[in-house]
Amino acid sequence: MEGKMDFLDILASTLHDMKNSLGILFNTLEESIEQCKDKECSSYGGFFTLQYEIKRLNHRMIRLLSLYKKEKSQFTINVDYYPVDEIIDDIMIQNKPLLSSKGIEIETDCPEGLFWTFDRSLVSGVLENVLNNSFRYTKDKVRISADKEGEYLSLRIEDNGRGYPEYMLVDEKEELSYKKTVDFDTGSTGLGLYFSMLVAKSHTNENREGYISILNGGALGGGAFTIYIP
Amino acid sequence: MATTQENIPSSPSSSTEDLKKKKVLVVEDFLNFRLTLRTMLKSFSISYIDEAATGEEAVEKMSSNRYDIILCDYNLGPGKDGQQVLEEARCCEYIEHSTIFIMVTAENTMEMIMGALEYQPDDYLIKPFSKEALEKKLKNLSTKKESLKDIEKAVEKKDYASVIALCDEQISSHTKSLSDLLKLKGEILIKKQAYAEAAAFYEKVLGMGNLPWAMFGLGKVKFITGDYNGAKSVFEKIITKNNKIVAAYDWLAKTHEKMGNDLEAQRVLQDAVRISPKAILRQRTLGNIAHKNKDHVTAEYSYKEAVKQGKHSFLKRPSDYTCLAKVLVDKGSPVESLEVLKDAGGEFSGNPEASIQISVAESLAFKKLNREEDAGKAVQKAYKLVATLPGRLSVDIELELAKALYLTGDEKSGKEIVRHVVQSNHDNQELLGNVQAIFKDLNIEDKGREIISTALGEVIKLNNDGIKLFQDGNLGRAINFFEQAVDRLPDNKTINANAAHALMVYMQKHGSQPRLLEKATLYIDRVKSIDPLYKNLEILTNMHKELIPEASHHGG
Repeated sequence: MEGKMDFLDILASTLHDMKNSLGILFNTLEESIEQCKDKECSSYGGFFTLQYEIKRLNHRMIRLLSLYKKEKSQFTINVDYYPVDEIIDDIMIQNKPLLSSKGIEIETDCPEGLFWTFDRSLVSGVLENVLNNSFRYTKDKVRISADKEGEYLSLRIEDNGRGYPEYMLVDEKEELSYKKTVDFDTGSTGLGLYFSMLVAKSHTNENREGYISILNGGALGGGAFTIYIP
Repeated sequence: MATTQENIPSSPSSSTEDLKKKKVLVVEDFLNFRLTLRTMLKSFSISYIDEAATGEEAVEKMSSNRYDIILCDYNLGPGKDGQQVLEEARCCEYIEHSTIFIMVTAENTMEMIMGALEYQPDDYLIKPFSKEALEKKLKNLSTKKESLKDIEKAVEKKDYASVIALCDEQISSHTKSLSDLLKLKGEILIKKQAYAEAAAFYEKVLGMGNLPWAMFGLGKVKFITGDYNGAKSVFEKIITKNNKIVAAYDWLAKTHEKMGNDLEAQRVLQDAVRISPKAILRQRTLGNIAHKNKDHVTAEYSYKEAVKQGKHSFLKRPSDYTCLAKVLVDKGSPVESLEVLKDAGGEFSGNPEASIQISVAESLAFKKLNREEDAGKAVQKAYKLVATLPGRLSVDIELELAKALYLTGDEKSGKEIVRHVVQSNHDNQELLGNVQAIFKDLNIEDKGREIISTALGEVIKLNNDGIKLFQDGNLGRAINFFEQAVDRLPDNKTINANAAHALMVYMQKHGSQPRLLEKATLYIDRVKSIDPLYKNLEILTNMHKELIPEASHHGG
């Protein structure tokens, strides 16, 4: 190796490495959860807190890696034509055990035969991240829904918690500068929002760009996050 | 339709029962994760689980066992990576269409996904994933494979009309596999040479979204039909939208080359190699074009990469060594060149075609070292080996040999080879251009032009004489004439096609005869293998089909 290594590259390769360890951690935990299921083990509940935190870490790392690519101008999307209900099913299956452990019910709603063109892993990443937050903030219900709204596909996650704080709300199509909303005290850096915006905006069709909205109210009366894909 | 119904279960539902009997291969270098996967699979009651820790081991296992499902990690340490495993397995047909191949990755490795437009796994799984996610994915894919079973059978039989009909039927029925069906339909339309239809189809798909594979298909159609400007703008558009789709670079470079922009082609390939350096075919092509552009530094580097990457790959070719050797000669390092060729001799011992290429390249290095006698000996060794080959050499190697013969003073043998190449390919302008370029290199351009035109004149006259007999109604004599011509020039597609045509017209008049039909079949097969895109091929195959007695469309 010659020359000085770029710190960003070091960061990225370390992240990859950490993600691998995290993967092992996640799967080992899954096995433990499986084994303890019927034994009325006292740490059973604690396992889910662990799982929640591992998932949270994982999402942060994916996000960081995506932002790293963006920084290096390597961020691209990989679209294909997907059945939307399959994506929603996948997300539900990945997250159901965790949410159920806290008694949270998930419902899904997607018209049959709805297909759309998008980057499956990026969009799933955004939705899972939101869903992971619901574990912390909802009361006992989460709803994942999809529909065609005009020229856009909307993918929405709603809950019946207290909703998003005022400063996080995003009105449809309104441009925001996220840098000023970084809040180090609460640990909410606004990066999640930035990442979601990045993913949405990267989806374009003719002259239309994707966008997100974060509102309160919605079908369940709590927070409602929506990503719109043209 | 539906003649094979008896084998198909009436409802393609996917219960755990379906997974239970599957044979699975887990390819993963990380012991810990291998165990995790095994535990997951066991929990779906799968009992047949094989493991491989490296790509080499995986390919080896696939070549000797049949698996239903392959879970393959992308990152497998120093040897082959997951994509190479997939390419080799598909290329060598170690796995069937019905085999489920899932690529497991540590993250959303876009580079890898993008590089793989042509050899794609059935799905990706991003670590970490839960047991439930794996189970669902396996079930979904099994159901999908089941629903595509008939279509894939038709694909394997090359019964393209049925493939299209089956695709259309399923496309209109709200299937989850819509995307796969659309992709397949496009590919088959191209294979069927229904280019106008294929272009219209891709345009229609693009109306549903900017799907890179549909743009790619459209670009390919434009390329094949000779619309290089159109192809160029499509491939450039793909790259503007997503600069990681390396296959688009490859095709853009091909397009530039066709348009005569060799420097531009090289630049595009250099970009592609920067994005995805681990690709022998691309390094090889870059080496060729750089050598053509006399950029010895790039050519040397690319061929060295091709040689290095080829060590572990089934894509290893003697030409990577001999091309490298030639670049080294051109750049003034004949001694290093001989070393490379010595390595090649070791890698490809017992392969006469490789020996011919190696000897030819050696002669060039000897020549550079002023060892005239050694150079002559090496060429003659190659020339003698040609006679021992069962089939014919590839045209490129033949021409290299001819050039070396000229260089070492054996003009007679050189001319003989050139004449044969020209006469076997008299309507291939690109190749004739290459032949002329060789004479230019040898500084005997005028002499070369004369050799080419004499050879061409002979074959054109031969063909025209046959056509005249045919047109004059001397069908019997035309057949005789063309049969003799074919014996003389078995690699000439036009002569083969005309011979087949005369035979079939005769049979249309006088009834099908097994002996004549057999000959016609042979000639048509030759045309197919020489040039699958030959303009009159479809007419010939249709005529042929109608001559088969009791044309039966047997099903199952």
